[in-house]
Amino acid sequence: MSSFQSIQKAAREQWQALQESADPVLYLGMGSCGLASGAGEVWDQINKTIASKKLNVRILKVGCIGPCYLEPLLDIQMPGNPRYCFNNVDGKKAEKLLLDYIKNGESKIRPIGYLGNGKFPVNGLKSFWDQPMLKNQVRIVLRNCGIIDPENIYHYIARDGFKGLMRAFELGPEGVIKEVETSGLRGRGGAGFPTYLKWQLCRKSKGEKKYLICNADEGDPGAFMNRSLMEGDPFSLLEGMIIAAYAIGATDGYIYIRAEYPLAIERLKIAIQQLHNHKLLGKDIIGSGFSFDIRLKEGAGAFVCGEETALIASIEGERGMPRSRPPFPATSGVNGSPTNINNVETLATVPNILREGGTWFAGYGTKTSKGTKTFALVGKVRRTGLIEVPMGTTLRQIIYDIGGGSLKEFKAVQTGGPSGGCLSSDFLDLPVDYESLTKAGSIMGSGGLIVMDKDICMVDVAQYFLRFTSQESCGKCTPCRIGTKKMVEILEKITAGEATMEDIHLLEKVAETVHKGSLCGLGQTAPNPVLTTLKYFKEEYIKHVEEKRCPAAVCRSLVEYRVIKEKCTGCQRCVDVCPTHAITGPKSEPHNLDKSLCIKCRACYEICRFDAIAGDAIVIE
Amino acid sequence: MRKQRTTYINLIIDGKPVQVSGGQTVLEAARQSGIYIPTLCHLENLIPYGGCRLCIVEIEKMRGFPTACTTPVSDGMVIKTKTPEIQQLRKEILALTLSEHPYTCLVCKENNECPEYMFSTRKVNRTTGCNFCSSNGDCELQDLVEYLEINEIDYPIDYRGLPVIKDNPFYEIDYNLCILCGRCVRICNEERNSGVLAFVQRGKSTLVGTAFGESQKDAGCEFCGACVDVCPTGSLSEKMGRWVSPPDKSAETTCIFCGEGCTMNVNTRGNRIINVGPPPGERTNPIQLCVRGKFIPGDIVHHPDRIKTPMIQRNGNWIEVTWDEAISHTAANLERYRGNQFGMIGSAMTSMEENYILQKFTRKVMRSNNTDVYNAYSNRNLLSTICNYHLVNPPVEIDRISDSDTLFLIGTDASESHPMVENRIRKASRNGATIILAHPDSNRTTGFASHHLHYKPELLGNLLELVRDGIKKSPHSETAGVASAKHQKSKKRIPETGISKADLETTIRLIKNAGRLIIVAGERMLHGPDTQKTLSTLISLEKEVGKNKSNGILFLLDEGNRYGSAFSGMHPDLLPGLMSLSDPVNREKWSENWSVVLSEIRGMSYREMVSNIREDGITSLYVTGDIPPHPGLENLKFMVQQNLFLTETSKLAHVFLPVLTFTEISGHVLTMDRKLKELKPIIQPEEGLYSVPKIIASITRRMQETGFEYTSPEEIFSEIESFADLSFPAPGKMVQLPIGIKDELPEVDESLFLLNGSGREKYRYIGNPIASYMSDFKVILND
Repeated sequence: MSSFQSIQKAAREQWQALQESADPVLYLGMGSCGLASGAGEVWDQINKTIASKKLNVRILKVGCIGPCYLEPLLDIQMPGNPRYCFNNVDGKKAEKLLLDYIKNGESKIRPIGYLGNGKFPVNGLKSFWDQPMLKNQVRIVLRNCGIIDPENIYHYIARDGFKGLMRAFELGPEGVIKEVETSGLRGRGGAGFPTYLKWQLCRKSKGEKKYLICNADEGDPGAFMNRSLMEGDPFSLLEGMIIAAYAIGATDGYIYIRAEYPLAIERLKIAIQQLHNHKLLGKDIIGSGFSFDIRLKEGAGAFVCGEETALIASIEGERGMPRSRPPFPATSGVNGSPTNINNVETLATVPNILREGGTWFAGYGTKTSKGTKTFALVGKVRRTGLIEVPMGTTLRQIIYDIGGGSLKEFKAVQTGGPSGGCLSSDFLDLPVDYESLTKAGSIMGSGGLIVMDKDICMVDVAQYFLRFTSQESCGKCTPCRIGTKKMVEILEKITAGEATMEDIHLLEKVAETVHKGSLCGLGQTAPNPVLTTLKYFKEEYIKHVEEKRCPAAVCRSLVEYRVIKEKCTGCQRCVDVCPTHAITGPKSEPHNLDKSLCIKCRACYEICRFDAIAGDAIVIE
Repeated sequence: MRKQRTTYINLIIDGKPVQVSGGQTVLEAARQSGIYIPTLCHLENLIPYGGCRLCIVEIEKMRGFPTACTTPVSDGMVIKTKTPEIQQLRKEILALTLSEHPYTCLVCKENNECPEYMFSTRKVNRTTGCNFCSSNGDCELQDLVEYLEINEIDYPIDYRGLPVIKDNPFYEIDYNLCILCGRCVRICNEERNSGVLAFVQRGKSTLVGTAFGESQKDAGCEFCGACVDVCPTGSLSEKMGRWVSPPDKSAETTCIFCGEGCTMNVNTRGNRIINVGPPPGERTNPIQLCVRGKFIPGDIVHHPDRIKTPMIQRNGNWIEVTWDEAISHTAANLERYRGNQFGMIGSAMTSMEENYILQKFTRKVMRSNNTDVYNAYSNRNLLSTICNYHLVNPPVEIDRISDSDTLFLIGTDASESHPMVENRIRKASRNGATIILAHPDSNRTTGFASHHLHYKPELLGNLLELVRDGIKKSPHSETAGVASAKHQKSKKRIPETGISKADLETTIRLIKNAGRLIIVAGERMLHGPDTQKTLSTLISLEKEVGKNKSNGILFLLDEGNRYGSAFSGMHPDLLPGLMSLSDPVNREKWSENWSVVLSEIRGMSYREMVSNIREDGITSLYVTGDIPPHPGLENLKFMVQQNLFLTETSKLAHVFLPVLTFTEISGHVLTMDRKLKELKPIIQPEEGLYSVPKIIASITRRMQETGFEYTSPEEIFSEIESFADLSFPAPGKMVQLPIGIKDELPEVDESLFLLNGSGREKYRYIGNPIASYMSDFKVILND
């Protein structure tokens, strides 16, 4: 029996023992999203209860399983039963659940689903995967997230981990590249460059030493695909990196990860240590003769370091500034050596392709965009979270079937982060693949999907993204450094109601200069949010300029709030939230809003349950 | 970088078929073919940057607009450099650049008439337009605005409102004018390897600055001024001459402050030095200088304390007199002290011609061989020994340092004594060379040296012997060295060297592993004790390494014209042409040349002269420049000081004669790598100031002597040339020195070594401590 087989055996035994545990086992979603919604408190409470009542209960941390709106998620696995999933748990609820189950083997609190293959699910309970948000998803990259303990390599191995690597060693480097070619995998970081081609270029480059870098500098506002993946299943990324390194002949690997992801960093560190312990990383990996090691490099908080050449500069210890290509990193990267850079998701997909075969993977997706893609579905949408769908799924399917639709009337969806664009409802039936999105003026990007409803002002959105890129510009090239700043200035003028149509023309002109003249992708794509909003929502701009009003009632200078007397029930909720006491009035009578005191913070508008506060009476004479 | 075999590549640039050698960028190819592409951030010899985006071009089969400066050429490229779209885009980009730069004057209709009514505006101290900028007329932005015909800018000026940084004495920094081309940052890091400047902040707040906002000095700035030279705008400019208007004349001369003899370009306007650096309008390939070359020359020439009238001291007061009176007074006095009681102190910081005249005057007129330079090496055989070594081993050219793979630096603190040598050492280090530094103290080189030997100065000879013997012991075995170093990790010090055995073994191993070794012998060694031994040991050590592995020894001679002054005969033991005085043949030859019978009496060195002032020793001195006020000087019966300033020593002088600086005279210097270079008169001396040959000629005339009636410095030089049996090649080429210097020279005055040491407080010009005249200079002195 080879050394890997013995590890595999031990792993399977451990995993099975966990499934068949004679004691109750709790699984708590402790990804960043879980922690943000209070999983930490739940964890403390459960442990306190276990200790005080001296219970024989095991509790495990797992990563995010996807539907963030359900967090904190707690699974309870009683002996012989599947994992029952409970949503939006807090300390109190967790304690009650725990005690109920220990005492009675059931609780009055109904789970939202079960995970695993239990024999006797509670009356009519459906699988967790049958929920509307999950039912249309295909989970390949995320298959382990929320299921395994991300700090236990045995869990990963038990679920077919490193099978892909073993097959890669059988195929040889060229065979691996061939398999990836068959799979049709394209870069998940945004540009969609065929992965096999990138590997091949680097493999063919001459150099004594080659580097493989995982770009985990996920910085798009609203995007968290890579973070969740690294927190929930760090091993798949590491396995993918070893396979990629083997294919291109790299000996040194880096994971360039943002320092703002402390949990992912910690879990990766643990995972790397465990790989070392089992000789799955380092010298002569599992007797294959192939040596490879991985180091973590924490980014210092610059968005631009997600750009390949800036990332390399940062790894070299220089200021994170991009340089012109050619030469491309494949020929001259870290310290002048051939370097291959892939996104987290790309690399984490690779073990699956090797394990199941390229043809299997290519079975998903469209003609040009194969496989599945993860998206961070956020914004004004009912069900937020991390999803994975086959390429070619339409925006409507994602937003309505999976996301449950927008909160208020749908207005736009922003894809691809600051480099992407805003698409209007005309594009809801657009299949999500690289080509279609690009054609519509946006990009796939790394997978951020921000849903916007009628309460969002598109000029404000453009201004937000431009401010972001302007602040994150490295300052090297003129068009990006000054051009984005000029665009922000013009957008500020528009949202302040001080602009003329001349300014919109100037905005278009600067946008073109920045797009054509900038050095790197950050600058070249920075105008996209402006260009797409100008293209699809031009009337909003014109209303800001000519009528001096903001249709979404967002731009403060253009909004005035008043109480609609007919609708107001006098509930006093707005009176309570108003920070300047601008709203007054006795209970059960229509309230008064003193405009001289109003600071337009929008709190009353957000809290009113009767649509009695109008922000749309926006007349500035 | 290794040169690749030249391959030729065919391109089409703007429809014109062009053939260029491979490995170039599109910009280089275009320029070579006479096609102009505008650039702003580009600078030859620096790594292509691609930040200003003005050199964008269209290349078939390439996406978007690649920059010509960063794109390598490849065969069959079809490049368009000036389509209407590109020109329009360039215009837009430059307009963006200008929106952050006070551009008013560029687009103002009144621009030309403006200077007539703007006299007082400069008091504002805030540059709001070209007419208020120190770089007006010498600005690359202005040139580009003209080329791209920009006469309207859509954006208001975004004035940054930053205070002008004036906390260093040499240049002012006005980042309100900065366009972030990054040239200063890159030259500081790539070329000078100083690592002081960097980009700070990001996005629209990006600026150039130092780490943690420290002052230039605290950030480790060496004030080489390279950043000032390359700045395309008025953002960085020399304080001296900043507001004088741009220079209108520019001339090359040779820097005299150390033995490197860098070529320097002096920019002037109306007989005033504006700055030293590349000629106006040119910034590429900047002439490499250090703080002394770049910032001192103008300060010296135009120093307010400079004495311009001859003076005679009467009753403790200096009385200004006419030249006639001063000369006759001097001549009359010198007449009384002819013979061995007279001493001449020349200077290694002035031309060969001046030194020749001074020693000729001493030997021919005063009949004395007591002629030496200030701060001469304690070992008076030193220069002869080095010259003899160089008979078989040609001097190492400075530029070869950066190509070496191993450097053995002994007693060098080049960052202060020879900054341009340090510059090459840093380049070598960056290229991966092994740097072995042997120096009693830590200095800036320690920071990046691979190995530092802290030896005890008096034990250097022993150390070198051990290294030499170690190399000898097991020749041609690289691994043996490694193994023994591993075995003997002993930290125990070897008593006769003061360093540990492990350190010694490492040194031996590293030297043995060298492929292209250069040994640099620095000041601490040359001015150090026991130089006769250290020098001969070092030479035998180098021999032991072998010609195939060693590229020779570079001797860091400290002052600008050490060789030249000795070659001109300003040496107690050597006649012009480095001919030994003790040899009767030489004496006879020069007696004939000068129509005089030369004294046979052994000359006194500088140190001997100043320590033998007494009735039966030295009674009168003629001092060129300044010397420290040695005790005993007050006993001199007569002392002439010929200097720029009145100093502490002047109090003891009887006559003071003003003198010209090196930017006012014409002549020659011999650098430490033995190149002949020229000094050119860039500034016309003020009325009433005369050169040394003229002064000496007047004195000799009064003393009824002949042989000094030269009409020009060239005449003096050709006299040296013809009498010294040596024809000099064209300036700048390496000079082959004559053969035949004998080793048996008079004994060495070992005890009298004068440690010049390192440290900038020792910076001098013809003996005058620079810090005492250029008070700003104190800023960079060591604390």
